Amino acid sequence: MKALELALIAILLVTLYATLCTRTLSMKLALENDYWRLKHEATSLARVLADSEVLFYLLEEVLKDGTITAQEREYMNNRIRTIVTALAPPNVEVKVIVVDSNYNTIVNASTPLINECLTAATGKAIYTHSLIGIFLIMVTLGRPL
Amino acid sequence: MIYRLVAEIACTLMLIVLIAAIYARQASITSLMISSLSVDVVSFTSRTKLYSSMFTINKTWELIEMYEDEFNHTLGLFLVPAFNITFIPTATGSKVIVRTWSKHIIPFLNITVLRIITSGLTDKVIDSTDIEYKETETSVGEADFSISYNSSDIYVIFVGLYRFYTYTIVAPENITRQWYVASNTSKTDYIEVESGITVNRTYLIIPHYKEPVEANWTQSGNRVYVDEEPGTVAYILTTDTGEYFLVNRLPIPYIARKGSVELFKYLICNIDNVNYMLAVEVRKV
Repeated sequence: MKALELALIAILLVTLYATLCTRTLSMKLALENDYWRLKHEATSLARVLADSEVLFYLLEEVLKDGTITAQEREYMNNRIRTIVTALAPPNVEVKVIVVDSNYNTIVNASTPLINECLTAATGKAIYTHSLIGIFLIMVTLGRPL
Repeated sequence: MIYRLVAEIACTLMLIVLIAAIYARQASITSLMISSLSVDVVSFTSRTKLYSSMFTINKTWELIEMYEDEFNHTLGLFLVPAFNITFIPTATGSKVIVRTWSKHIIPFLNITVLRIITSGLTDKVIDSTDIEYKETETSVGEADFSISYNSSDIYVIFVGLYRFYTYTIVAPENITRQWYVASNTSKTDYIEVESGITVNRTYLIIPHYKEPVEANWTQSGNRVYVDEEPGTVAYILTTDTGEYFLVNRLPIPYIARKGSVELFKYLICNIDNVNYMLAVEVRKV
């Protein structure tokens, strides 16, 4: 009788452990799933930024004298922030960083709540143009709490 | 004996309370999560190679076929032009309103409207009298056009954000047909017309152009093979009986909505050089 009781308790504990593990695992998968989704969306948005040639038009506008002033940088950040926010999926926070081939950050624009996101993912695309050079476009999308 | 029984009952109760407490804690942690698991979306995306943004016409047809065959019951699919384009008749002509699918206004847009007057399709080659074309730039996401609206005509609205292009075609339903048959090799794509129809002219609708382009074609039975140009999004076929049909290369808009949006991304069609928005949705439970 005692052996049966012990066996029952053991089965109960093993079942408890197994179900808790499954729940934890599914939580991890859920997070992974959300991350994976954001990564897809961010990559698609980075690709759109590269293919639309937004950078070329904006840089051509501000690079007339060969350098970018702080005011011009702010202007570019605002324009790109507006475009990316408009094109992004609903209810996400956005950050865009554009780096040139000398590792200088050309654009660094984000929406205010990007740092408060629980999950965020970054998508990257390379943009090249024979007149203005090679750029890495990094778009981060985050799901706010 | 009775003390032993009481002790066993107490132990069992304690065990139950312990298990319930652990479950309660686990449940409270789970409820903090804002994400949800959808294996179907992951499966659909990997099977259709949706991790890529560049799609051909044939790949897009494959995606739709796979959705209809295997994921129709669990997922929703929403494949539409990259922007939400609304075409409205007004007292002075027409108006085009453009928003993104997240309902934002895009501040720098180039919009063109091409009107193909269908009465000119019946007995002669399309010329400049059968076409109206207007182009404008807007910073408020909408523009008025002097092109008047007639429900029997075909309108091609083309929108560009720098070089990010999309379009929509507004045409009467009674002339619109889904006759385009995509195959694995793009050279053998064809239009399958209804039996008894003999095509006498074909025109290509290319959104980047200011007018439809007449194309060479061959008809073999019900199959019409058209020599299309890059950027062709639809065909106009006229027949020897004076009928005319609009055949889209892709079934856009494809709307099979099921619930909440799980994946929202842009597809860039490398043949059309135009962009579409694709949303995969999960059925609400």
